[in-house]
Amino acid sequence: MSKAEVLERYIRMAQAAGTVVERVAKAELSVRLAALLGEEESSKMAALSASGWPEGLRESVEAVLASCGFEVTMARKDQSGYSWDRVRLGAASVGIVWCEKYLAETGSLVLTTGPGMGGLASLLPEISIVLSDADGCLEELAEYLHLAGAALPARMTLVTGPSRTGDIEATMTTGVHGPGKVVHFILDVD
Amino acid sequence: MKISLLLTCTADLLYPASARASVEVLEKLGVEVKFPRLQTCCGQPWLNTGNLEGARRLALHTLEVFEDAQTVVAISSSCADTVRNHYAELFPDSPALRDRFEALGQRTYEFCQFLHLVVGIKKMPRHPDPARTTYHSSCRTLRGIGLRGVAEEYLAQMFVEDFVPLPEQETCCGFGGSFSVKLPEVSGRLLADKLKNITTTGATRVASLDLSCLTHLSTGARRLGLAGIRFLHLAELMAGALK
Amino acid sequence: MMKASHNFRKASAAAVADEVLGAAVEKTATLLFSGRASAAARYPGFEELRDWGRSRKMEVSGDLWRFARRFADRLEAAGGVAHYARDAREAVEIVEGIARRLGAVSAVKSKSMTAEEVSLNEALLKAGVAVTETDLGEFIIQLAGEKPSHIVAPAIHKNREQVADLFHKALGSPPGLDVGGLVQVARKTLRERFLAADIGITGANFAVSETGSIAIVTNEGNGRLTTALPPVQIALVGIDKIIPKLYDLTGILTLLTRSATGQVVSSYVTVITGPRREGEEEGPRELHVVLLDNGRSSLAAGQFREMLHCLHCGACLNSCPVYRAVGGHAYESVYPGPMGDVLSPLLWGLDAYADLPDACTLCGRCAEVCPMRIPLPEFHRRLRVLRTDLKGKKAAWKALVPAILAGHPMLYRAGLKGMRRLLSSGPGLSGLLKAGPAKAWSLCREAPRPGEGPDFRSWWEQRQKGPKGDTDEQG
Repeated sequence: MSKAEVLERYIRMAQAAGTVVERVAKAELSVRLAALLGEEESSKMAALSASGWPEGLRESVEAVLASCGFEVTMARKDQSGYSWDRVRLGAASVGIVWCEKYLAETGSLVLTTGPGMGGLASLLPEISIVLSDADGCLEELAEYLHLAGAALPARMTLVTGPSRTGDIEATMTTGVHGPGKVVHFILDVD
Repeated sequence: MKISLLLTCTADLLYPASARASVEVLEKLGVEVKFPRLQTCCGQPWLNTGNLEGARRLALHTLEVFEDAQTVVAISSSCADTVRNHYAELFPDSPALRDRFEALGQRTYEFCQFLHLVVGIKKMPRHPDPARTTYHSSCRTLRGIGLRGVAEEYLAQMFVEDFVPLPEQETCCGFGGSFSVKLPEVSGRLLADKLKNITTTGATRVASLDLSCLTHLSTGARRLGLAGIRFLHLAELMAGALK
Repeated sequence: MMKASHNFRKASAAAVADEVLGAAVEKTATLLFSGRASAAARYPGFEELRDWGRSRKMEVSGDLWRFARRFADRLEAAGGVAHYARDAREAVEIVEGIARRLGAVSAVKSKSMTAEEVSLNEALLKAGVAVTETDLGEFIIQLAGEKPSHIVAPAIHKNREQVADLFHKALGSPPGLDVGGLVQVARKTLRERFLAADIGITGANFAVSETGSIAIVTNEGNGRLTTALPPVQIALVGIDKIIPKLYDLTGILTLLTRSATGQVVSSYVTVITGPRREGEEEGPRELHVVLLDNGRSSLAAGQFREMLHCLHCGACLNSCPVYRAVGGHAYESVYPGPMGDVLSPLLWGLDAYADLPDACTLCGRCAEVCPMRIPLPEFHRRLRVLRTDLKGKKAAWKALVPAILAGHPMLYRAGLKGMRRLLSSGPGLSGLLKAGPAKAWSLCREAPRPGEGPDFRSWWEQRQKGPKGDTDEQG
């Protein structure tokens, strides 16, 4: 399968699982992100991961958030490492993180832990926004595990679509514990 | 081609017409039928209730009666399944016996399976007396001897649009041998569900390849007063079509 | 957990009569069953994958403790703590000990059948720790004071009205909420509990021997929350949950999620390798894994070894006509349905669950859908054999006598003739129907009636003799 076909497969599978997938040129990201944030009726608090971002991207995301009237909360670093302000994190309605790798076979994002990686930002708020590069798409989990080798993070989560439950009368309902909406922006290299 | 008929105790007791029809169909299709008179029961009830000593006795008796037979044809799926798939495992400590039982199993067929696989019957003529007909596939036919779609094909040829497939046909009718009397309430629920599916087809005839299921279904139907439905072995319909 | 004398006939008869229960179970089981069927059909090579999965599990069940010890070594190398529990009591004591040391008062729990198996909630409650179930289905039945009735969909037996009523009474939510509203109530209530909890309790879907990792699979995300927020995590893991390599996760996950719900993958699969690392802002500071035997190693040594391969996907439940007719509670065990019929007597004794091997029509559908190809119908048969052996010589002889008679051609024919006569005669029969199996038969069925015309043997003899033969000998 060519890289383009793998990415197409990812998009198909992720959409089938309920993820909203948008491919955007890097230059367009601010506009698209602002449009998305403008749509949401929500508290004006966004949780952001502190680390893991490609050069300069976090800062441009922060700028968009500021322009849309959002306050930003991030895990802060002191001598014992990163920690969240739990009150501000709890108030966040949107969480934005960077995701290095994602999998075509199942339409899954691979989110890993590490200092400042901000996994809770993709878990606690109602809306999870995830950004990736187009070339972060892998064919399947086996490929990822092969790449990771012995260097497993403390926690690695495959996220496939929103949090959902069918526990009442098998009626599929989203947002039971985690985000009810997952939006994945895939950045094309300009 | 010569076969030895495994009558089965259910047919012996309750279904002479099914057995007669099986012989007629086989002969009509050029098969010579022998009937070893010393045969009794295949032992399935003992096998399924965990009384292996009893099952072994009847397996050995069946082996004795049928060991010289070229091919064995049983007219009920669950009995065919017992001989084909369960005899050998009753004798884990005797490789010689296991071999003999495995050989017997390999040349034992259920009636419809035999027509399809060995005689190679591809086509059945139209039945002279059409009536809406459905088919109860039975668990042992599907998952015991692994026969799917064959009887349905024959029925569709005999009855064309009067053959109506049964909804939820892969679901058990709730007989299950001793299950039917150990858990009669659950068995009765499954039976009622199956009969409901049967009545929705509007069929007046229900064919099957398993006589135990037929017993369960017909006696249940009688209890519910479903007088207009006849329960038959497939051979009986085939005999009519081949006349 | 122990049942003095479980009476499945009584329990199942009551369950069959409950129409609300029947409709609720049928609806969910049908959905899950058809989901599994189409997910398996859409995956090329699913059958081969089942063979592969079985072979990986065979490797583990062939040497359970070697894999378990290696898992424990790797877990400790990653900074976790491994504990060994021989039985339910030891497992509970280990967890209680940790809770006491921490001075814990509250715990959140991500659905774990293994924890149910050892009755962990009850024990922790006695030790002063309030445990909140966080899987929505488990939360519902915890509020209702009930037990799970399905290993994947624990509240399968409840309908929306019942849940709305329960939330109204227990949580003070407005009456008559729809499913979306109920889910929001649960989200809000449980989020507070997650944030306040001293301990996160989980099971594990898989434990990877090679890396010391555990994998937790959920759709709701409660598994991820339970392992991200509380400062301490305790995972209770049956040693049957071990898989050899991390790579095995790929295929086994596919088998699990497609078989359980028909999903390509569940929403959240979290693979945990040790506690929170330096500088990180989430995850437990202490990670304890309690490796539970509770009869598993003796199972591995016997004829039911393959039961240890069970992924707890629930496909056998959804396919089982008996489970679908009665729901889970009638089994009066943590493990209902076909896998439970086999596991309950093996874990808690055939005397406690003597009826369960009979809760099966031997229809074979469970074996058809089991991702690990566990021969469940055959295992029901084998348990019936064990039960016969337990009953002693007198009972065995009682069952053997009819076989001896049936194996004697003359006696067999005489017996059949007598039965035919009895079944053909009205009065003789009605007497018969008043007792024993005949009475049970007549509950929903008439007595069988021998078909018209001569019996087969007479007809055959007649034919052999030709049209002029005489007919004095009846077969």
